Amino acid sequence: MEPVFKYIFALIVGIMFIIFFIGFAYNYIGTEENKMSLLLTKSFDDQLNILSIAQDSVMNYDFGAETALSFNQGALRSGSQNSRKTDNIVYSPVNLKGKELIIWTKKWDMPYAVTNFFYMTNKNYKYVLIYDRTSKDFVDLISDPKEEIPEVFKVVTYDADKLREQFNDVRSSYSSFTKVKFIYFSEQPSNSLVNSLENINNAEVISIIPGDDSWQFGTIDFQADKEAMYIGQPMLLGAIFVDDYSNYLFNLEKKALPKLKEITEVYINKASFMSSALQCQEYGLINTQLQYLYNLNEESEPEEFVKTANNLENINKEHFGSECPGVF
Amino acid sequence: MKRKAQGGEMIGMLVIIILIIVIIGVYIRFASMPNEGTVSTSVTDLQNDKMFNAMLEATVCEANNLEEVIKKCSKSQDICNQDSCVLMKESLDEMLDSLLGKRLNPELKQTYFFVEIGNKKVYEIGYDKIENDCLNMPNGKYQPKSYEIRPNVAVLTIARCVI
Amino acid sequence: MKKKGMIGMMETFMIIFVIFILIGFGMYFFYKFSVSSTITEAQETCELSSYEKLLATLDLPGLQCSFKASPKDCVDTAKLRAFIDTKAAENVGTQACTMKIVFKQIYPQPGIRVNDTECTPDKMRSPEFPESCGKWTLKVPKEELTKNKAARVSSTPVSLYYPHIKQYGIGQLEITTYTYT
Repeated sequence: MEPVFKYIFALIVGIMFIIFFIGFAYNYIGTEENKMSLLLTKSFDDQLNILSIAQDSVMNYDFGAETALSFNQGALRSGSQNSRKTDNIVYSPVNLKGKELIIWTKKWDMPYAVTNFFYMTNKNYKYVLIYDRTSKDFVDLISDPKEEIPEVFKVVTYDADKLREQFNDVRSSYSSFTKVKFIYFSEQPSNSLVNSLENINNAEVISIIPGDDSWQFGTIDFQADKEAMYIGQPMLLGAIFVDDYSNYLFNLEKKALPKLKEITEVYINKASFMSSALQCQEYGLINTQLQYLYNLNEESEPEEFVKTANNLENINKEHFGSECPGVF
Repeated sequence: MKRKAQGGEMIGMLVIIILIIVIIGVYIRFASMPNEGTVSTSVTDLQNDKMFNAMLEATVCEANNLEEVIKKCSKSQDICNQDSCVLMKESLDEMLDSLLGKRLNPELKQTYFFVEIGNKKVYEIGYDKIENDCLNMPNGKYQPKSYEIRPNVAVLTIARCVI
Repeated sequence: MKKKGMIGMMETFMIIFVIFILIGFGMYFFYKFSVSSTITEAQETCELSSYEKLLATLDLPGLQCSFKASPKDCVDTAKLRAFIDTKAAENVGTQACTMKIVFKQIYPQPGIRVNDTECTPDKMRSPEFPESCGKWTLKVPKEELTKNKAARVSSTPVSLYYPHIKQYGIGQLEITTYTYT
């Protein structure tokens, strides 16, 4: 064979080998990355499952290295890999990038324990609670680490009137954060303040309007004509940490309310069972309220949920004793 | 020249044979590694806590649970028209037989359960020399877990030797 | 000359052939090792997951005892029965791991005839209860998901509460995970 042909032959075969091995290596790297992402999202989800035992608990989750996690519409995802559905109800920014996460969990009672809500964020996000004379007491309560929001979140509070004067200072103080979320608690939020805050580059503004003095139910105004109800304080807290309207609505309509229905059905069945076993009339009384709660849905007024929950709690406390044990 | 060429071929053959031997060696090494993944049988603190909680809460007679029976036994009083200490022993025998079963067989030397009232053992079952035996084992870890019925009424202890 | 050339080409092809065989062997062993290590990892993740599932199951609001809305460390069997009957139990479990979840009654000891009997509402209302039945099956995987898989059982004792007779018993929560090895 001519030497030239030999060299050409050797070159072609050599290139084929190189292409083969490089392609194999890339495939292997891709598979390993997929595996690592799946393991990461699975172990994170399992960590949430363990935390769900707690009534009220906060922890720092350290990934060990810079990690990008995304939570969107009930799905967990790491990097660009396939997402994994989670049963846990998570209120957080859609994209979280960093070495650590702060996770806080609270049980949602209505009036019995239904499920846990998880609030997640990291140091790149800032939360500013704004109050006026109608909401000062409530905001003072929830921003007190001994009462509600843990200190690790470093939430700050501002009087709405004073905020107008300190506007430029506020804008420059928080410009280094990925996002600043202003949560405006008021029975009648001022549109001019909301509009000014919305003009800040990295800001998002929501208003929380209570249904009554207790702040147990009401409306969350996500601006741009997007509103949703909240039922119970844990859900109000969720509005503080959630990134956007669509995720809040998903958690409300596709997760929390179906869960409430599921647990209520368990108690309806238990009440029927107890009634047939013990022949106590009180079970009929509580069953009526349980059925009413079961039939409420996302179109119902938030006040109905809270009123029915309070009725259930009172009936369970006052009408049951040692002869006829309570339902919950 | 011919010899040189033959020599070159021999070296080439040798390299190939060495490569094949190395690959077979690596395969044998991995194939002979023991299979991991047998079920972990270590008993956790959680399971011990759950066990004590479930035992003491369990209804023994009428509306009385085991904790109340043990309290009566500590005061040498009757309960449900019976000797409370006898009732305690019968209940513990039944409960532990269901919970631990064969693990309490002294010949297996795995588990020892006892109840002390005022530093006196009022009930024991299993292998009583477990502590000494375990400490003498090279990889043995003596794991006692106690639960106190307060105030200073009784102490229930389950001891295992984990290797 | 021609013959020498032919022999030379044959030698080249022989060498390339042997090299391909060696690469083939290498790929085969690498693949086997890689697959078996992934399976082992999946199995370990599954076992760990079953332990976490044990903890989480015992504290499910749909199962846990509550008195005047305060939780207590036991499983309410009336709620457990309702939880199973309302199909809420179908949502319990992890995506990656096939699991069977059963609550077994061990004290008072059910008789040998009934220890494998499911505690239906009728059995729970019968005068012999709790000795009339032996278990509550929360979740059973489909048969095709458990075929040719190894079963591993994790269990923990649990306090069972019978609200209609106001008594407590002892049970065992058993989670069986099905993996490939």
